[in-house]
Amino acid sequence: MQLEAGKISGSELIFIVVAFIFGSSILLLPGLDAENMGWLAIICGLILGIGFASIYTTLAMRFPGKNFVEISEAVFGKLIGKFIAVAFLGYLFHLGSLVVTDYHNFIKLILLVETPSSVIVLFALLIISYGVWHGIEVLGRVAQGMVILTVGLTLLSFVLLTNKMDFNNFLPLFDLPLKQFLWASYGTGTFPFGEVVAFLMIFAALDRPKQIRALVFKGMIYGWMFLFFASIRTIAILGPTMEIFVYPVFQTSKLISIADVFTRLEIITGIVFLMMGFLKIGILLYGAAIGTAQLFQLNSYRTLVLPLGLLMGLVALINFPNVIENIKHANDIYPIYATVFILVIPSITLVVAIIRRLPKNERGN
Amino acid sequence: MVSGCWDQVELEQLAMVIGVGIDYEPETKEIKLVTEIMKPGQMKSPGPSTSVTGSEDSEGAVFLLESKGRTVFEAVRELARENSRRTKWTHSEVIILGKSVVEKGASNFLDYFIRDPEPRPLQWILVAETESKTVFEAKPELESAVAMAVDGLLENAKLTSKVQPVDLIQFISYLISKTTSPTAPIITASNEGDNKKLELSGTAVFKKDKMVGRLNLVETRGMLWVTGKVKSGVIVIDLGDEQWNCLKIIRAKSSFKPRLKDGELEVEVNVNLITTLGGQISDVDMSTSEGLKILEKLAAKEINKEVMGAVKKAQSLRTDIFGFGEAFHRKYPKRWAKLEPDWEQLFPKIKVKVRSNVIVELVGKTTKPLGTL
Repeated sequence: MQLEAGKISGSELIFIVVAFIFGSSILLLPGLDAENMGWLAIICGLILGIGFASIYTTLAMRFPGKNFVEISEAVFGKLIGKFIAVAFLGYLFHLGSLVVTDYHNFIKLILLVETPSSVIVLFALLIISYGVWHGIEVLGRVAQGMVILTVGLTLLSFVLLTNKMDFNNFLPLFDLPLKQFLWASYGTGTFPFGEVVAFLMIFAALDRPKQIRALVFKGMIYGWMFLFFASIRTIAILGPTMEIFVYPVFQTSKLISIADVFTRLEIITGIVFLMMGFLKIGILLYGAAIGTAQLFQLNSYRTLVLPLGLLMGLVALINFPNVIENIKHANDIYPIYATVFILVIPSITLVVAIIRRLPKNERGN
Repeated sequence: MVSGCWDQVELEQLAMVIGVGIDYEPETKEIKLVTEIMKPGQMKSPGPSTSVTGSEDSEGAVFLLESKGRTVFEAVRELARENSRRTKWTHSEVIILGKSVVEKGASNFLDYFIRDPEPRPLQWILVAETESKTVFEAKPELESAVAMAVDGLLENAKLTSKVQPVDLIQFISYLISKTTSPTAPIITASNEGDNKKLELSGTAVFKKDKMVGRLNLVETRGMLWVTGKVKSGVIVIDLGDEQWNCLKIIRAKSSFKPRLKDGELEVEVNVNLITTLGGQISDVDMSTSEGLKILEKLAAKEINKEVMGAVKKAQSLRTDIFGFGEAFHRKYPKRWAKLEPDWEQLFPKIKVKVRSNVIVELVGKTTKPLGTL
C-alpha cells in the first residue's frame, strides 16, 4: 500500500536536509555553551552527526522504499516493531512541538507581543498543515525556493555586519573546561545534526534510493556551512555578551548599521527563521502523520495532518511553563533524551537487521 | 496575516521617543525618566523651508515628558498617564545617564534597554554630570531635537578624536568583561545667555558600573591612541615663543602588544601616523626637509605625552580602560588564571612603552608660512 505517491528528486532532498539543519538552529544557535569555541563545537557536532546519519542511511539503503515504521515491523516483528515505531513517531511529534514552541516564543517576544499565543500557534499550524497535506513533493519544491532565499539573505546580513566583527573575540582558544566543550559538541551532534533521523520517514519518497547517503551527507554539510558562518558571525560580533541574550543570532542582526541607511534589518533573520521553521515543522508533521497512518493501516495520511498539526500546537503551548525551562531543557535534558531516538533505536534496529540478515527475500514478495 | 491584528498600531497613535535621560532619586528610591518625544508634523525639513505653517523655528518640534517609577519599565509605562499616545522606543537614539545614576551603578538602569524588544542596542550612552534633564533642556541651533544634536556631536567626534562614542552593546560588553572598565562620553549643557549649549567635555570612567573619575579631552585622545581608535584630528606642536605648527592626521594606525617578562607586565603601544601640515603660526619656515623631520619628532613626542597622560590617569584610578587585561588573557591564557584575581593591583604597575612614528607627507597648498614673507 502506497500512502504517498509523490517522489522527490535528489536535489530536493538536499534542500530539505539543509532547511532541516538550519531550521530552529538559526535562532537557538547550537554550541553556544562552548563560548568562543562554539565554531569548533559545531565542527565536532557535524562529525558526530555524520556518524549518526550513516546509521540511518545504511538502514534506509538496506530497506529501499520503506520508512521506519515498515522497517521496524520487518525487523522486530509485528508487536515489538509497532511499539518501537510508536515511540519513534512520538519523538517526531514531540520534536515538532518543541520547534513550534521555539517558533511561538520568537514571534511572541519579538514580532507580535500582544497577540495571544494560541492565535500565533493556530495560524502557523494551519499554514504548515496545508503544506503537509499537499505532500512531500510540495515540501520539496517549497524548500528549493526558501533555501535559496535563505542563502541570499544570510550572505547579505553577513556582508552588512563585517564592519562590526572583532576577531579578537576568538582568543584565547580553549579557555573553558574540556568537559563543557565536549558536552557542547555532543549537544550540537544531537541538535540539529542528529535530528536528521526524522528523514527515515522520508527516504522512502526519494526517486533514487541508491544515492541516499551521498545526498544526506551533502545536505548536512551545506546546512553545517550556514551554521558555521552564523556561529563565526555571532562570536565575532557579540563576543562574551552573547551569553546574556536569548537569541544571539537575532541580536547580531539588530546591530546592522551601515551609514545610518541600512539599519533595522533584523527582520532578515526573522524571515529566515519563519521560513526554515515552517519547513522543519512541516517535515516532522509529515513524518508523524504518514507513520501514524501506516500504524493504523489507513488509506491516506491526509486526514491525519490537521488533527496531528493542531495537537502539535497544543502540546507546544504546554511544553514549558516558561522560556527559562525551555532553555534549560534544550541545554541539559534534550541531548540525553534525544540520544534514545537518534542513536539507540536506529542502531539497535540496524544491528538486529544485520543479525537476522534482513531483508531476506525482498524480490520474492 | 490575520494574527497581526492584536499588535496593529497606526503611526498616528504612537509617540516616538528619540532620546531618554535617566536619574535616580535616593530619597524616594525612585527612578526618574526624561523622554524627548517627537512631534512629527513640526520637524524641520532640511533645506530652505517654504512651509507657511510656522515650523521655521525649531520651537515645539519635540517635547519633554517625565515620569517616575521603581523600575525603568514601570516609569516607561507611567508615561502613558500623561501622554495621549503610546510611546514607541524603536527610534530612540541616546541614553543619557544622570549623575545620580552613575554614582549608584548604571547596570540596573540599563536592564530595560536590552531586555525589551523595542529599544535598540545601538543607542549611544552618555553621562551627564548633572541631572539628565538639564541636557534635554538645551535648544540646539541646527537640529530640532537634543537627541539628534547629540547624535551629530558623536558623529563629529572622529574629526578631533577627543571623544570615544560608546553604544549600549559596547558598554555592556565592557561591563561583562572582568577587567576592562567601561567609559562613556560626558555631555554638558553650559549656560550661554538664555540658551544652553551642548558640549562633549570629557570621558567618564567607570569601575564596574560606577563612575569613579573622568578623563579630560587630551587624556581621552591618549586612550584612543592606545586602543587604535584615532581616525582623524589635529596634533599641535609647540615650537616655543608662541610659534605653533599643527599636523592634520590623514591616516592613523595604532595598537598595543602585551608582554610578560619575568613576571613583569609590559605593554608596548605602537602608533603609526601619516599626516599633512595643517598650519604654521611661525616666523620660521618648517616646510623644509629638515624642518619636517623636526616636526615629525616633536609630534611623536606629543603623542607619547598624550598616551602617558591617559595611562597615568587610568593607573591612578585603577581602571583598565584600554582592555589590557583582555589582551593579556588572549596572549597568555594559561597564566591568566593567576593574574586575574590581582588585576586591580597589577594594572597600576604595568610598564607602558610608546613608540610613535609620524610621517609628514604633504604640506597643504602652500609651501611657506605667511609669517615669513
